[in-house]
Amino acid sequence: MSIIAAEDLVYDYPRTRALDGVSFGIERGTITALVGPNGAGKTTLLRCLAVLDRPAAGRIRLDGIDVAEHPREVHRKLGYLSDFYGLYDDLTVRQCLTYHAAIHDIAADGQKDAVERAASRMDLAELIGRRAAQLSRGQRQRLAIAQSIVHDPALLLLDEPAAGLDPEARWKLSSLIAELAKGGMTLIVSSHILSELEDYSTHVMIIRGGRLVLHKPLAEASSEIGGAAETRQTCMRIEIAAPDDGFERFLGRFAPATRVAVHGTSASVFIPSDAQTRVALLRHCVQSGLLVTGYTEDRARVEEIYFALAQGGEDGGKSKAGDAGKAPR
Amino acid sequence: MTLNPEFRRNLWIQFGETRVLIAGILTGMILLTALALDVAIASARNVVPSITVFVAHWTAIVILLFWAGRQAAGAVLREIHGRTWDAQRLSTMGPWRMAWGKLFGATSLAWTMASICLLAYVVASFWLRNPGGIFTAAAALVGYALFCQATGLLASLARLSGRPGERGGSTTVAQFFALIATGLLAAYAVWALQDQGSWFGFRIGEDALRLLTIWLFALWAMIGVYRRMRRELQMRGVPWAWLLFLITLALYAEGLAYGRSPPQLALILPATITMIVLWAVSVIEAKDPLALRQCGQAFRSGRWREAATLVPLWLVTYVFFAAVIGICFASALASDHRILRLPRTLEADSVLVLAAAFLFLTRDIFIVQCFTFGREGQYAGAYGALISFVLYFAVPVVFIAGEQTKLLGLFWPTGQGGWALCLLPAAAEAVLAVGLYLWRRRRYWRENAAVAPSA
Repeated sequence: MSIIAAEDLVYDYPRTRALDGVSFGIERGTITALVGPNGAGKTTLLRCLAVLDRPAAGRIRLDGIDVAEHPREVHRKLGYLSDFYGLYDDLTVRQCLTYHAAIHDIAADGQKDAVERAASRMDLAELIGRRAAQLSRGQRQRLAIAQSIVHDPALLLLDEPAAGLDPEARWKLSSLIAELAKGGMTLIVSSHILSELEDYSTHVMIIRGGRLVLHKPLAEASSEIGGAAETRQTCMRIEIAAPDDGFERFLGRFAPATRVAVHGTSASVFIPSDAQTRVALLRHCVQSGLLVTGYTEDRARVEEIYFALAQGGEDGGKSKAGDAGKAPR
Repeated sequence: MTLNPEFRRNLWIQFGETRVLIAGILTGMILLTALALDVAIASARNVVPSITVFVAHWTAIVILLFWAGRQAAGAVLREIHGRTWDAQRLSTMGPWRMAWGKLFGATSLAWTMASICLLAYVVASFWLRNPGGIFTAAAALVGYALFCQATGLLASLARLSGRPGERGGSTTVAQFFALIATGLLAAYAVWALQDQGSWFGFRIGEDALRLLTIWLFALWAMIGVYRRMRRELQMRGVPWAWLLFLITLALYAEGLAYGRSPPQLALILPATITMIVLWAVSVIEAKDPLALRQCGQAFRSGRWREAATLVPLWLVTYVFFAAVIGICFASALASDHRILRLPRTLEADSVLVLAAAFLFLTRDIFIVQCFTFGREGQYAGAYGALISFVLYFAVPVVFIAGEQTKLLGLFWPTGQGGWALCLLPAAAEAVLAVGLYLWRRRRYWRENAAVAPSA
């Protein structure tokens, strides 16, 4: 059963329609990567789901509860971290977390446990007595996330949660997100750091121009990029020893490749999934003089799906998103 | 019983060591200095703490109106600017708990210091053996303070539109509104209620009526904060509380005018108060063209309840004002039959004044709405207030200086000069303003048609 069911959401700003007939359902225990270009409607969608903004039309149900009719009940089950969040600088970490536990109806005798659990999850136990103003940027981000999960919500919405975090903190955040999902929590994560989303996401949702372009399990979405099922494609990841100006050009000359994306010393190449083509691609790389250090079949990549559908041509996007929540109008 | 979390959070912040130390030292120094002055100028035997009474009273006033007033006016705006408001809106707290947690939490330190001053004021007054009226004065001060603080918070909430990115505002502006409103209430209570001790014929007493009036307005300001907080927490509802407030105001005014001379006061007073409220709400209320359009769409498609939840308060007040004016006209027309059993029919001049006032106010409201559909819609209220100032004060001053008082009817509901001079200019200006509004609204939606970007 879906934890969220959104039907025909429409949200208007005076000069643009931010959401245009968006419909989808989110399964329990899943992690959905919400991606799209700036101004696509990601934040508006999250804010509507969090009942912070009210859509002009459409309906959202969380756990069967109509969010417009019962916003307070919905907030018991929901956590949300905004992309631009604030903290009470004069309060200690403990006070911040206690406050958020209390405003989410956690009884007084349960608040201490809830606070300690959230602090421990976000590695804040040692900083519990420190004022928020004294925390580093990464520690502040962790405190903000801890505040949004202190009441153990069934659904957690994270808008750019990794912004401002150092690599170690990002890795910990990825682990935490995966751990929360294992514990039964459903998450929707919006981020520009696409490569990280694929570490933990089970589903991908692409939104562009206020319309849902694609919403699928990550594995299924990958196959859609390659085209029709009869010409099943796979994504091969190639690593080379050092940056090479000709990397993309050499790969582009490989005729069976349908799409090539190069990121520094690694590249993703979409080719037909048969063994001969894979062997031929490796041979092509070696013969081109590339110092290949790695050659693996990649699993579905959010980044590739995004570039293929969200930033690709409108026609391509439409034709490959046939069963997205609602066909674009 | 658990303490209101919002109130407790405010206590944590307000009662930080530094704040308490500075506030305590300053308040203590002011009171002790006053007491020292009393002792210094007293004779050897008798200390007369008259300076202490004066200083304690005025320090309490300054603390409650200016310091606590500012704290209350900024209680939500600080959260918006600090980006913590969304997290609070995501809580499971109800609107009343959130409202009183903010109103009394953000002002808790100020109230503590003011309480010390009020205590010093009461004790010193007893010492003076002049206790008469001190509790009334203290009760009035507390009422004024609650009104001022609640009005400041209400003004800040009223200016929040539903659109993210357009939310916010200035604490100073909200506090300015609150201080103006408190000043008007004080002026009204002191001067207008002089020698006025009865309501609908019931003898209450001048002081009691004054206190009841102050506390009535304070209570309604707090109800207003609650209702607006409901809206912020996405709990939409029909604006019945606003309608009830307008009815209460009209009844309150009617009760005061009852049995007084001239008799037409019984109709003119409620109409005047409604007029002031209508002008104020049309200027202060946040402007949201999209909500207005959605309201119209819901209304046209027969979704009455949805339309009622989206209807702006200025429109509710405008309809109410039209009804009040309608009753006045009915009274005038029913002179022979007394079908409405109103106290006395209006004279022709009074009818003209009311009709002209209605038309002028129609003009003012639609001028503000014109600006709402402009590029700088967020300043619509300020532009509307400025134009009202020019039309009602600046231009008439020029006419008066040039001894052209007959032309005042062009901008004031004077009731002089007969139907033609009194009503025609007002009607022309109202029609012009409505026409301009319709034209700008059409142009606005043509330019800003809300469509999905054609990618």
